[in-house]
Amino acid sequence: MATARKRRGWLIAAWGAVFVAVAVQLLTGLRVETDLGAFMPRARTDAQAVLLNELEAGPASRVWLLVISADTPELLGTTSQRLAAELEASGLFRSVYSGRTVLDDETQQTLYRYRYLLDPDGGAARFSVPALRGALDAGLDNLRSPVSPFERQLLTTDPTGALRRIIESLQPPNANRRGPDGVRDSVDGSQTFLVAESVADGTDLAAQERVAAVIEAAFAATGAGTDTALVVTGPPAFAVAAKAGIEREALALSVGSAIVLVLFLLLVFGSVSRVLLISVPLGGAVLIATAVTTLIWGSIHGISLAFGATLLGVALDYPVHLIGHARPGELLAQSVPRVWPTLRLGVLTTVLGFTAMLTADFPGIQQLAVFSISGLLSAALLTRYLLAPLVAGPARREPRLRGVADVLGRSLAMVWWLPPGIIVAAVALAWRDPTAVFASRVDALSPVPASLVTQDRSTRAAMDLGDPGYALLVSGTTVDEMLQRQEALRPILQQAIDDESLRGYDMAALVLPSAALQRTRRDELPDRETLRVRIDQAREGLPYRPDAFRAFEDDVAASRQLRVLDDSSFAGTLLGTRLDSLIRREADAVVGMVSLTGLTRHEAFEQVLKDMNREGVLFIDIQASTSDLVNAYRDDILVRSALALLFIAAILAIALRDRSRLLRVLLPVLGGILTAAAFPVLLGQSLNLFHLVSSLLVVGLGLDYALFFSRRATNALESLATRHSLFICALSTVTVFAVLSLSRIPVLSSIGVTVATGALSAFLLSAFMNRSNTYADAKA
Amino acid sequence: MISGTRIRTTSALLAAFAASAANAQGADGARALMQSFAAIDTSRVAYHETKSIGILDSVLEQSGFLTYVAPATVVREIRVPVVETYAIVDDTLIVTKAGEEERTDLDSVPQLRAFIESFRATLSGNAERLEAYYHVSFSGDGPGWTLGLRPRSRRLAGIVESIEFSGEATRVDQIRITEANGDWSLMTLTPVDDNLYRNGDSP
Repeated sequence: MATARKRRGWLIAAWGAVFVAVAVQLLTGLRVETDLGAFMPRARTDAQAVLLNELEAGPASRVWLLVISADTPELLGTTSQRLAAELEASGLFRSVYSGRTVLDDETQQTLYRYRYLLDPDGGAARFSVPALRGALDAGLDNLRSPVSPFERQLLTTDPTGALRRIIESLQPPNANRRGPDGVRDSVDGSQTFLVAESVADGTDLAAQERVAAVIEAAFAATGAGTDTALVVTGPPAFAVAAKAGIEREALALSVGSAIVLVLFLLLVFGSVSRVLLISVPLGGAVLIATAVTTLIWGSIHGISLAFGATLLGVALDYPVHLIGHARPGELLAQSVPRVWPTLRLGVLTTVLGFTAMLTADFPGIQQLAVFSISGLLSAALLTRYLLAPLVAGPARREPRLRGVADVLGRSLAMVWWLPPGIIVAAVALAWRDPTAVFASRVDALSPVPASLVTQDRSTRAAMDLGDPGYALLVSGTTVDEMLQRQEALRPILQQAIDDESLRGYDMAALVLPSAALQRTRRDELPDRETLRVRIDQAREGLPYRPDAFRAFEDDVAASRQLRVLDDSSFAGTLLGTRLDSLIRREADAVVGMVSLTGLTRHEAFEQVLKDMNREGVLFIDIQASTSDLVNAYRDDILVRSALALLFIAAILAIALRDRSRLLRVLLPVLGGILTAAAFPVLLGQSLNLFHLVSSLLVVGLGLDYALFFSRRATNALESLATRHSLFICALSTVTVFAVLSLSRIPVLSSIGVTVATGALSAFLLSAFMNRSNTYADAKA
Repeated sequence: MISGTRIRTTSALLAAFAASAANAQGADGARALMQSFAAIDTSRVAYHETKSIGILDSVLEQSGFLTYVAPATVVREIRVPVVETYAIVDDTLIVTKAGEEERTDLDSVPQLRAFIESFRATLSGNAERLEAYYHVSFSGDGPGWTLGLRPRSRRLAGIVESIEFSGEATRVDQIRITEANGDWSLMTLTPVDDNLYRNGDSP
């Protein structure tokens, strides 16, 4: 008795120490991340890297679309200008434009000053007498134009039109396109829109939430009244809305199901303290697992936390088994020998199954595995070494619903044919349309509801901000080498545009010519005397005064003294951020992306590229790369799951040393997983990441059910207790996840459907497979 | 010296009063004129333009036709010395030269939009829009009148100093544009045979 008390004291002290450590770690190191990138697969090739980068941080995912309406065009103009100014001042945006590229004054001056170095189509030929003559002729023609006052100054300072060509090449490929049905500027002039690209990545939802708040505040600051209105849309807006929706619904559903669960457990055990005790291992496990995860990664991802807590749901079964097996008048510790060996085997096999996910290609999945493993182990240890010794008083009476559980359990076992039926039907369906089984788009991994994804896609398509279908990756050892290689591609890109197989392209070299090209341009500029002689020849017979182009002569002379611009010259300006988004710096290389918009004959284009044999140029078919990536990821998860199952089977074979029992354990688990995978397919859903992760929980639950069902009970009473506690476990799990499956949000309903189906199937298959076992022993 | 300053100050004040009084009158006159413009759906006139530009040692002359179709289309067809068309349709400037068409979005050049609204808002009788872009002055009694526009935007004012329409009743006779750098153009408008136009236009 004394040793028992002493031991109890030690245990409580040890747990106290553990929880102090956990508390310290949580208080000092708890950081919850919301960046979805961690749950995206890691890229294996350059093409995939670009693809993922675009998906997570690509311009399209950062674009907010602000539709402004006002009573009068004047109010509309001032409101949109003020809003744009406010947004720019916030520093949260890379660019804010109203359907056109607006360059800041400083950048405009830089472009103007360096126009003869930056001219995308410049060169010595522009300064020959015939070319100058052509320019002056065209200038005269422009002076005749009714809008000539706007061309006058540039005619005298830049007759060759260098600045005009620079500005044209800087236009984003989609700048001149209008929104759907005049969204941009409706016919009555009551609506206009701003396109604002945030600095934060599209997947950084916490940052995007701040952006949303800033947009709201900025609009309020424009002095908006009842005569103006703002509608905020675009991918980040959808993502933020979806996140808020998920949070609200997840909270409501979890509170709702928790209440149901507590009421149910109260009904069964008839004691508040018992119900509280049951929640101790799960609660403690979530805390410990969070502490362990943050200790390893420095932070925990929101999804890991939410999913992890869900996956630990099986931990609720551990105390239920323990309490359910305690006989009236018995201490809780006395039921330990009857429950622990089976419980231990279940926990260990589940945990070993999760280790297969430790080496997965997603940092997020690794986190989830660590969270689950540490959580399940803690829950088992908490049940065994805290709960059992902690409860000193004996159980007063038997749990309720024993008779009901027995009858229901038996009748459920009679519908054992249901899971195989579902599996056969799903296989038949998959046979006819295999592509329907797995979602092959990366965005199927997104937690954003499908309706919002559709809306998002149509908005992007309407604005032509949609996924470019193809891209080129140009790499070099330095930025300048990469830029030179991009410049070498211009003829074939231009050729493709000319024969209308390409609508447009964007690349860093359009913003910044290579240093070599700038030097060539500069060194080809004529000196002052040469230029003056040529201008005099060129203006012969035209009505220009002799000194009309003095400013042009001065500027060309000054350009000959300029030093070339490099990628740091535009730092901190809109062009600088645009360059940054087009250039990716790696450890030993610089990679520039050339996005190709509206490429129609991609095989021919790829062939032309191949024939040219350009060094450091890679053609990417984004759609094909996406499918490859998603399929590789799916195969990876499937192979790992299969390995995990084999691993579990091997452990069980060694531990059980009983071929018949092994079969009675493995078949229900396998059946549970297959049914969980088959049922969504029958419902017409493609399987996604969330289904697959949830099936891990099904494995844990199935193992728990099957191991307890299949074990040889020492007497009828214990057999009854086992069946009762299993029934309680299964009923509570299925109820909670069935509630979740009602959610309108795909993530939540995917988890709900998978776990509820899988748990139910595993339970009734276990009950069926082990019916003779329990029955015989109960009679004995 | 002191009295001299005072006199100048006083006369400046008087001038300011006079201007504001004239403005009040002017705004009414301008609105009345524009209301009568608003009733016109379509008009077509012949024009002759003389343009004086500092960097050229001779003036530029051209002639052709101007067409206005309510509410948002203005077309200038140059016939001499070249054949070119400048059409503003809604928010687009469409320039046709040698059979080739070039389109410019008016929103891409804010000053251009303001410049163009000086004609279009006047002809469509949209006083509110015109006043959003320009300080409007009006003078004249009886059938003759002059409508003066000075850009509100500093950017446009840096290019265009003033635009002046003058005419009789609902007929515009002259448009004079004075640029900030001293260049100017004067456009003289004469009515064309209505029937000729109608016959030529309808199938």
